[in-house]
Amino acid sequence: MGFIKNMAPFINPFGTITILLFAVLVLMFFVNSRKNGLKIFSFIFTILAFIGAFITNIIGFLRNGAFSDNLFTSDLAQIIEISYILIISFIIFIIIFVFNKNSESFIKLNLIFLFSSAALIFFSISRNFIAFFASLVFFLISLFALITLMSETEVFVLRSQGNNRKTSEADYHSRAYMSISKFFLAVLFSVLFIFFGTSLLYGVSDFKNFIQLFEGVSTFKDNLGFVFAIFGIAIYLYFGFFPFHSPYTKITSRISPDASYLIWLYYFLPGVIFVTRLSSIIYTVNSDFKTVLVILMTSIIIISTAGSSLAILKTNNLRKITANLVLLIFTGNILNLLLYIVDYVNEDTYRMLNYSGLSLLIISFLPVSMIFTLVEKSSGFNDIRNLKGIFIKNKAVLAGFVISCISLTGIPAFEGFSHKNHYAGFVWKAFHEGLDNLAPIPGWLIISAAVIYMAFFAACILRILISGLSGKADTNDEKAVFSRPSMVFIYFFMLLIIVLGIAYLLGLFNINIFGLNFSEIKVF
Amino acid sequence: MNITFIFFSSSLLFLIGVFASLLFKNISRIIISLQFIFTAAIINFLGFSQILYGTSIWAVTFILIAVITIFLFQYMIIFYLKSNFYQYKTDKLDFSSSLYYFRINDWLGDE
Repeated sequence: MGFIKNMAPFINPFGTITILLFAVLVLMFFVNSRKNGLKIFSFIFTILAFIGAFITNIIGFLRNGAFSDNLFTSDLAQIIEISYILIISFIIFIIIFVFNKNSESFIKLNLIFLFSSAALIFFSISRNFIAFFASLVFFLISLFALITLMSETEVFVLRSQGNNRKTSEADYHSRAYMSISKFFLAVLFSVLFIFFGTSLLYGVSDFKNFIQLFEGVSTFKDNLGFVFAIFGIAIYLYFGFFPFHSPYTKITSRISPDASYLIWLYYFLPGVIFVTRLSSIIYTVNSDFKTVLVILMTSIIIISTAGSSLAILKTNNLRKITANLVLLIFTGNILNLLLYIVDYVNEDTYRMLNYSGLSLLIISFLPVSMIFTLVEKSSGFNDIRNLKGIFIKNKAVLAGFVISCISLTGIPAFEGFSHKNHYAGFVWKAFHEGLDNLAPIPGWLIISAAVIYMAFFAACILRILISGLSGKADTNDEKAVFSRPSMVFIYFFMLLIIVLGIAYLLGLFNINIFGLNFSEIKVF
Repeated sequence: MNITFIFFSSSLLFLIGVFASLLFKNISRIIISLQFIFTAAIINFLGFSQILYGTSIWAVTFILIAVITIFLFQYMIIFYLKSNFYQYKTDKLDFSSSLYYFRINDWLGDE
């Protein structure tokens, strides 16, 4: 008991990271092993490390409250962010295990993945620009290592290419490695923009961390425009929004299907965290630049939404559809920021909207992308029109696909409704009660951006649903078999979408389940 | 040497780096262009640190950490490229297009 009492003050965000790094240290002893027993041990050990880190994260905050030192800071917002990071890491790790359990490099993948999770948590809690920048680059380095390793371990050849296997493999590898190199050079390009922006910020204001920036931004606001422009470009390039999507769509089309999940679910998290960090700073100065910011951000939302949506509506390539759907979901973060800086929503609601976007990604989007991946792996085709053949044989997969699509559209009683409900609420309010304190032109610009975003989103999901259900049935596709773990995965998420959707809907009518109002919980 | 000169020279380097990175298809040239942006940021840090704030340990620490991390990242990309270069006998280290080249077929096409 004495030991536990002495340890209690040390349970803070570092405790979470220590558990993950301890797991890295242990796995280093077995990194070159190819024994199946050790692979299973490393899998269980990593799962336990993630669970331990999650519990430490929550208990540490409940016991000791907020934490801050020279380099790092952690409050309720960071605790929720870390929880999201750990949940997403957990899900991705299971996907990695399912697809790579027979790989010789599984323990290496496991080790690097744990390290990348720790780097991402460091990034989330970093206060000083040094910690912020170093953790971002370490995260990207480990992501690069993971993707290259996963693409090395599997050769995936599409049947539609029609070449002999040897030629296809060489061609596949050559194209995959060029696209990986191009993508990470583009990422490095955006990271260097952040580095250059930070150097200018240092020259203009001598700010060394986000708290100084937040407190002193109103004093230096006339000189910080250029810095924020550089940061804005860096974020736009990092996300790869239209028309800078080329490296991103190429890498997701050419690497092994399971490695794509690292990009879709993991790579964008630092971008979301960075935008959230800058939001309160932009909010402080927006009174002077409101019209410029509104016009600029509305343009970004409309261009990005239209670019991603047109790609989804036009292409039949499953990977391209999924990649652009992810971009569409993350465009929602820019819309959330816009609503926040014009005071349509308060800071709590803004954060909740961001979290609901992440929830949409990991609960409603994941089953759709998983079905696409499994179809591609089992049938060898990468065309949405081939889905019907799979659905004829597998009714459960069909049910999972339809439920996930309905949830993504935002229909009540499904999880995705929590994401669209707020946007629909703003639009409804604007048409019936007017534009609060906003001038007519910026106000209607924002409302038009929200309407365009929702309309395009719904159109894209409807297109996916209709094309999936009305394609051509091929007898070869009907033979495609899904493994039992994959089916369990799809069943679990189907259940989650319905349960969370109903809980949220009941919460809106003030009907509490287990004493909790799910519409007010700022998690989904 | 004054602060304006430092700012303009680093901005010039930055712009050269940005345009060159977006223009070239050759991987070596892109990496060298990225060095221009990196150098511009370092000139800013050192210049502002010396002229405005005296010698700042924070700025020097930031530069050291950035040099280590960015060079490690670049080294990994180059190592990956070179290792695959020999394995798959790709004839040259060129991309088919520049970094953010926009092609309608890449955007809307099925391939």
